[in-house]
Formats: sequence, C-alpha cells, structure tokens
Amino acid sequence: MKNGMNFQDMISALNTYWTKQGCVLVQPYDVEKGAGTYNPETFFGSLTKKPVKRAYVEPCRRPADGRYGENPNRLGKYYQYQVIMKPAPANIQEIYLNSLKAIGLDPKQHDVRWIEDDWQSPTLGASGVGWEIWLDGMEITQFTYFQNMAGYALNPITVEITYGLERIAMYCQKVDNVFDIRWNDEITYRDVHHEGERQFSHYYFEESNVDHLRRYIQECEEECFALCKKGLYLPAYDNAMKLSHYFNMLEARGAISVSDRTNNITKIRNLAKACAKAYVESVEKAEETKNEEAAK
Amino acid sequence: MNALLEIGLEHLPARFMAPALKQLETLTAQLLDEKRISYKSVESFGTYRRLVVLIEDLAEKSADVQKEVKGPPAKLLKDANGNFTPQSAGFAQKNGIAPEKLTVVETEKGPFIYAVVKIKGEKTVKLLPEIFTRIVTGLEFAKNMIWEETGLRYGRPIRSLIGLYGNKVIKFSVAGVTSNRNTYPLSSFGRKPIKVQQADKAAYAELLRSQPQPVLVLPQERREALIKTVSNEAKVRGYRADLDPELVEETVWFTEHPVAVGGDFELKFLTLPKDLVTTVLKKQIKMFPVTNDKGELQPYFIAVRDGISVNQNEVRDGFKKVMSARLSDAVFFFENDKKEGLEKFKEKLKNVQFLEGLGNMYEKSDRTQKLADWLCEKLGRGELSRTVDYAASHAYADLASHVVYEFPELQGYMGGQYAALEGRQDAAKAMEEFYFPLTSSSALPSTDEGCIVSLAGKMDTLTGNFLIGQIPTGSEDPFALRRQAFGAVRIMLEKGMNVSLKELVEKSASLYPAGTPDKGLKELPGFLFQRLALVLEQRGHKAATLQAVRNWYEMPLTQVEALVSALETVKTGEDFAQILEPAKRVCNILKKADNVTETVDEKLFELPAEKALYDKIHEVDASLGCAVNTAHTQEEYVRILKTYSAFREPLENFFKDVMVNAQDPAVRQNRLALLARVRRYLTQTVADITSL
Repeated sequence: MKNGMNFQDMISALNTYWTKQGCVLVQPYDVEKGAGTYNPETFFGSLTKKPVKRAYVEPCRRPADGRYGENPNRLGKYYQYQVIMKPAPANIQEIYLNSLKAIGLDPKQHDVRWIEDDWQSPTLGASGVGWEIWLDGMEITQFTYFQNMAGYALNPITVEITYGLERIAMYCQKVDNVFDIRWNDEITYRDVHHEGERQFSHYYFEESNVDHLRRYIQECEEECFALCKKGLYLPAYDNAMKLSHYFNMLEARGAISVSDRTNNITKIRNLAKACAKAYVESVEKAEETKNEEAAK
Repeated sequence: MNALLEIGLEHLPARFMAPALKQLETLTAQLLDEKRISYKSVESFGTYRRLVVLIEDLAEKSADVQKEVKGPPAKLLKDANGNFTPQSAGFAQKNGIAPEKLTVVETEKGPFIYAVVKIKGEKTVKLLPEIFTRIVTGLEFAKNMIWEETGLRYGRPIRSLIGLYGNKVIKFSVAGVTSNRNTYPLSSFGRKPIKVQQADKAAYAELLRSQPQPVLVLPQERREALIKTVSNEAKVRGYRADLDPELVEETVWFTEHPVAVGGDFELKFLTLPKDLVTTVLKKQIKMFPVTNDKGELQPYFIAVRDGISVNQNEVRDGFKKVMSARLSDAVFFFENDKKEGLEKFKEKLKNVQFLEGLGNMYEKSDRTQKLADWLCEKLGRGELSRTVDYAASHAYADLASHVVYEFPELQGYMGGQYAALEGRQDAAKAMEEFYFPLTSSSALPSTDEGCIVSLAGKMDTLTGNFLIGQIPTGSEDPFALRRQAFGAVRIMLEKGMNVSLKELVEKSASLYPAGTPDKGLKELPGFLFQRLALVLEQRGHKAATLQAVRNWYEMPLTQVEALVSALETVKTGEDFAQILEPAKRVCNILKKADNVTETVDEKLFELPAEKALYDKIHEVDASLGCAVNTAHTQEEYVRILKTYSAFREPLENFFKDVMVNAQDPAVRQNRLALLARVRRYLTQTVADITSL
C-alpha cells in the first residue's frame, strides 16, 4: 500500500479545500521570489481595507540553499502553498486544522503544536505575530497575523498560512529524501526537479556573472522608482522582486559583505515602500473620485 | 456565591503565561476593591488556551459608603439674608444633596463647608460586566497584536469568554466576542462547546478533566502529571529522566494535557558532547533527555505531546525523524569544527568585532591572555601559568565555531571540548567554565586556573565598555556588565585573591592600545563599589558598612571584608557608640573651618584639655605601633578600632573646656589643627567611623 497522497494530489486537495472556504485560486506569479509573501496578491492584498481571500502554490527560489540535488532536505527552489484571508475569520485555526485532514493528516491522530514564532521580513518592511506549527515535532506551516507591511500598520488584519509542501509530502509518504516524493503514480520529484537543482546550483554558486548582477540591481532600482512616480506600481514591484532575487544570487556567490548586505536590505525595503505607497495612494484617489461622483 | 471568568484564546506563548495569571489575580482583587465588593479569595489558573480567574464568596452587593466632600469656605454658606449662596447651593447640587444637609467643619485652614454624600451599594450582577471587561482588557503581555477591527492589542486573539456569577451568565463583550458559558476542547478536537454550569473551581476543573480528551486546567495538577508521565516513560526502560526545571515549566505552559512519548535514537549521536545533545533536545525540539543511574546520557528521548495517546507509534516515528535530523545537523557542525580547530577559530576572531571602536575579538583574546598571565604572577601562582596562558588566549575561540553559532548557549562549553580533543585537557575545565558564574548565586569556575582566566575576561570586558562610555543605566544593561562585575568581585573575594580592584583595573586599562579614547573609565570604581556592596550583603554583611572603608579600592577584597566584619563587631559595643557622637562633632567643626592644617604647636596650648587630647594621640599611636599598616585580619582590625574609644574622655573634656573659636587666630588655627589630627585618626586610620 502506498503511503500518503501524491504530491500533485495534495495540491489538488488543498485547492479544493480552500476553494470551499471561498478563496480565489490564483496561479503562481511569474517572477522569481524567495517566499510566497512576495507575491503581489499578498503584498498589495494585505495593504488596504478591501476583503481578500486567495490561495495559490508559489515556487520559491533560495539560491544559497541549493545543494546540486545532493542533499536529501535542501533545495534551491521549492514550493509553498499560500493562503491569505482578510479579514481573518474568527475560526481560522479550526479551518486550518481541517485543511490538514483534507491532505490526509488527521490532527486527532497527531501531535499538533503551535509554537510562538513571530515572522518578519526586513526586506519587505513587514512583520506579523503567530506560530510555526509542528506536526509530531516537524515544522509544517507558518501561521501569521500580519501586523505591518511595507512600513504600514495594518487594519483589517490579514492572516497568512504558508504550508511547506515538500516537508508535508515527505512526512505523509514516509520518504527520507525530498527527491523520492511521488509526484504522481509514475513520476517522482526527482524526475521533475533534480536536473534543475543541479544546473541552477552550478549557476548560482559558480557561473553567475557578478558584474552583470550588480548592474541588474542598479537598473531594477532605477526602473522601480521611475515607475512608482508614474503610479505604475505593479511593474515597479516586479522590479523590486527581481532586485531582491539578484541580491540573493549575489549572496549565494559570496559576493556580499556584511555592510553590503545591510545596504541592500535597506534598498529593497525602500523600493517595497515606494510601491506600497503608490498603490495605497491610487486606492485612496479612486475612493475620493467615487465619493465625489456619489456626491454629485 | 462564586464568580468565574474564562478568557478563551488562540495558543498563548508559554512565556506569557505566568505573568498573565499573576496579573489576572492582582487586577481582579484591585477592581473588586475599587467597586467595594467583598470576597473571600481570588485565584487564577489555566492553560495556554484558557486564562481563568475564580472569585470565592463574592458578595451580592457592593458596600454602602459615606464620603465627606470638602467645599468652599464656611463664610460662603449663607448670605446676609440667611439664604444659601450660589456657591453653596451649587456645591450641594453637584454632590446630589439638599443645601440644608451641608455641614461646616473646622479645618487647619479655618471652617469649610462639607457635603456628606451617601453612596448606595449596587448589585454585583450589575457591576460584573464592567469588572469582567476591565479584567480582560487590563492584562498586559510582553508582545501584543491586533486581529479584529476594534484593534484591541492583546497577546493572542480572544475567541471565547465565560462570565458566571453562581450559575448565571454575566453578559459582556470584548473584541467582538460576547460571553456565554461555553468552553472548548483541546484545539485539535473541534469546537463543540462544553457548557460550564457553575462558578465552581472543582466542578470546572473536573468538567474539563472528564472530557473524552481531558484538559488539566490546574497548572499544579498539570505539572505533577507531566513529571509523572515523563518519569514513568523513562522508568519503563530503566532510565532516569533529566527533568530540567526550565523545560518542565515551559512544557506545563504549552500543554493542556501532557503525555510522554519516548523513543530511541541512534547510538552514534552519543559520540557528540553531552551538553550538545541535551541542548538540541531541550532547546530545539523541547524533549527530555534521559540518563542511567550514573548520570550518563542514554540514546533515548522523551517527547511530550498535547493530548492522550492515539496513534502513538506514528507520532513516535515522527518525533524520531525530527530528532535524528536535528542531531545529524549537530554532528555535521561538530565534525566541521573538529576539522578546523581552535587555532583557526581564533584567527577568525579577527573578523568578529568586540565593541564599536575597540577592535576585534582576537585582540580581546590577547588582552585577556596578558591580564591572566599578569594575575598568575601577581598571585604567585606560576605553576598555573602554562594552563592559564592557553585557556585565556583561546577562551573566545569557540565563538567562531559552527556549533556555538547554532547554539550560543554552549559558548565556553564547546571551547573546553575542543581543547580536550586537541590534547589540552589541562585547560579544558577553565575554558568550559569561562563564563561562570552564570547567575549571581551560581558556582564559580571549579578550578583556580578557571577563576583567573574568567576574572581576566570579565575585567577586560568591563574596562572596555567603560572606556567607550557604555555604562549601564537603570534597566539598560545589554552586555550584562552588572552580572560580570558581580562575578569578578565574587571570584576575587571567594578565592581570597591578593590583588586590589585598583591594581586590576589599572593593569587591564594599560593593555588597551595607546590612544584608545577614555569616555568613562572614572565611573568604573563607583560601579564596582556597588557590586562589592551587594556581594558583601549576600555574604551576610550590611552593604552600608562598606561606606566606612575608605581604602576599599586599594585593598584585596578579603581584607575589605575583614575590615567590614571588624566594623560590624565593634559597632555593637557601648564604647563605640559613645565615641561616635564626639567624632561627628569634630568633623562638623572642621567642615565649617577654612585653611585647616595638621601642624600643632604645643606652645600655643592654653588649657590642659588641649594638651591631654594631644598626648592621647601620641599615646594611642605608640601603643599601636605599625599595626595600622600591617593589619589585614578581622581580629587585628577589631583591636585597632577599639582604640578609638580612648578619645572619648579627652574629647569630651576638650569640648567642655575649650573654645575652638579663640580670639587669637593663631590659637584658633592651632586648635583646629589638633582636631584635624584627631579626625585623621578617627576617619583614616583604617576606616571612617563617622559614616557608619
């Protein structure tokens, strides 16, 4: 008998479950990013008063974590399943626990622990309060009530639930190597991603061109600010995400000193803030126009 | 009747629990007192998902009270026609009484109008909604969040509220949640309400205990259950659980019903240093290690799950897997460290900053080594120098190791491990215990070498921080300088080191490179004085006695303590009390005088009392001989201090017969000089008795 769900079935089950909770299933965003939180749905979605319910798979790139496909637990690119809901439903903990059931993990049959862990992202100027959730001692989910995003204090509050898909799949399928995860009945995670892990590790650690990366970073920064000024916050934000990825690549290359690092984090945070500001202002302006028209 | 309040929360962090329960009690008592409702007792208890307070025998009404309110001066009571003035009438109206009821009371400032206001007690059921609301919203947490639109800042979201008085629900609302009588099962077991019928501690606890998934809501019961389940799990295998008090406490606060799940881990992990394994278990995955009867670590872990056992085997496998992964990481770090070794770590310290503007940790190692070497020589412990030299120069090396990077609490310990592996067993203990004492009352380094090295490191840190003006103020002490100074003083005193704080500070400062800015080293003696006073207090002395020891900074601390003991001994004697008054009088006279010298001219004496006092100085001086300079034991100091009382009689006669402020300035100055000689004797011979 096979253990646990196939990887793709797990994603389908989560999609089905969160669809029932009223979430819009959006698709992965096509710019490299280090975590699902960077997805514009979450970044912009958390900023205003408009209700938001979204669920999506997000591929995340962490160049420095790549291990040429040789480490059973480490990947330079992996998947998060991300749910955001605003306002946070009062029974959100229960909704989450039921989602575990949907992927074959009955909380009654396991030890589920909520360990204090307040997430923060200095690069996004963001922070939240919440837990990492341990299933029989293993961290499977980050559960966060956002409190700040891009320097803005939030209200209403967005709850963000981030599942570590590979870890959960390894646990359910009882495999010790991430590449042994069954993707479907015929294909494994190895078949889909091993070669990518190998090639991208070479690229990130040895082949990437440091001078090019530094130039890209400068160009992205310029482009981002220029676009923000024109109120084009979406393409501006794409540039911020790209800059962040190039910065991570430089770090994987060992080309970042301590002071460099601090400077770059500040740089990205300023870009994120500029994008957020452009967005918030455009929403406020739209509101005003609407109110004025209603007054006529 | 009793009252019960339960705040149902999403998982509150364990560290918030004890402070929250304490506040719950004080806040409840405070509000009941404010509202004048009597009660027998207030008790709080609960788990990370329910904070509960139970009020026993809460009166059904608040007490009536009579209040006297002071109004305008009495002359404003009535006007010339005998009518109440607008002022008095207004005052009466403001207090809700008829003007006729006003009274006049004599006060220190004359007669004033008073209103005697009677406040009727109210029904407790009417007051409880406000009281409960204020209790709930009044709790403060180390870190707060908002989660709903009212924006209440709280430790974690409130999801249910129970307010009961007897069997009656008290309705109130906080953060969008309205109270009822419903509590809920363990978080993984759904949200089917459990109805609480009565405000009764035993019944409430039993209701939760008797659920299909029991909740042990009383912390003490939970603590006992935890210790029992963990101990039993160990006993089954013939082991003993290492019931680390910190981990026990943390586990009590993050479980509602602790159940132990034990499992084996691979033997190969036992080749790791013991503290590394136990740190991974306790800190990273919150599991209890076990030992055999001899205290040796065994390849077994005990995890605690929240809730009774279903599917135990799969849960155990999960825990095993996680533990194995974490210990494998530890092996990886440890093996890498062993490949590099302490010399390489020490080199890496060149890239680790010590303090802003004070260079790197490599340079700090160097200074610590030099200071420790100097101490060895100074204390005449040359036989320790080889070990001390190595231990001091490598004491900080482990800060650059992978293991300490991952587990900062293992600093020192890992250095000792690596030293032993590199064939320096002699230095291992000193390095392992370099940061001792870890608290004000915990053990000093167990070896003399360790004490010397530890003292050198602490002193260098103190000197450095004070040089750059980084001096602790109020609650701000990010580098724990108070603790380090306290530890340094304890080492010097308890080890009887024959070196003064002054010598040590000066030597330590001299090791900083020339040109190092000095923004506050002069504050260091005062800072050390305060720590010394506290250490002496801990050792049973009065901290204030140290004030009398003028030369505390220049003396070895054992000698300071001997003198303090001597002062405390003689202070209780009758003779001593009688010399204190005249001694203080001498100081007061001199304080007001100008240009006082200590040159006494016998020819200027006019009265026998002057001569008698002068002779006494010589007599006492002669009797003590050089004892003043050589004294260092308590007995010797007692003998010297007892001679002080010999001045009582001549001083009393002097004050009786002699006018210090003589007409002739020469005579006056001579008398002042004589008193100055006495003052020197009474305040500077060994101690200043006037400051006792």
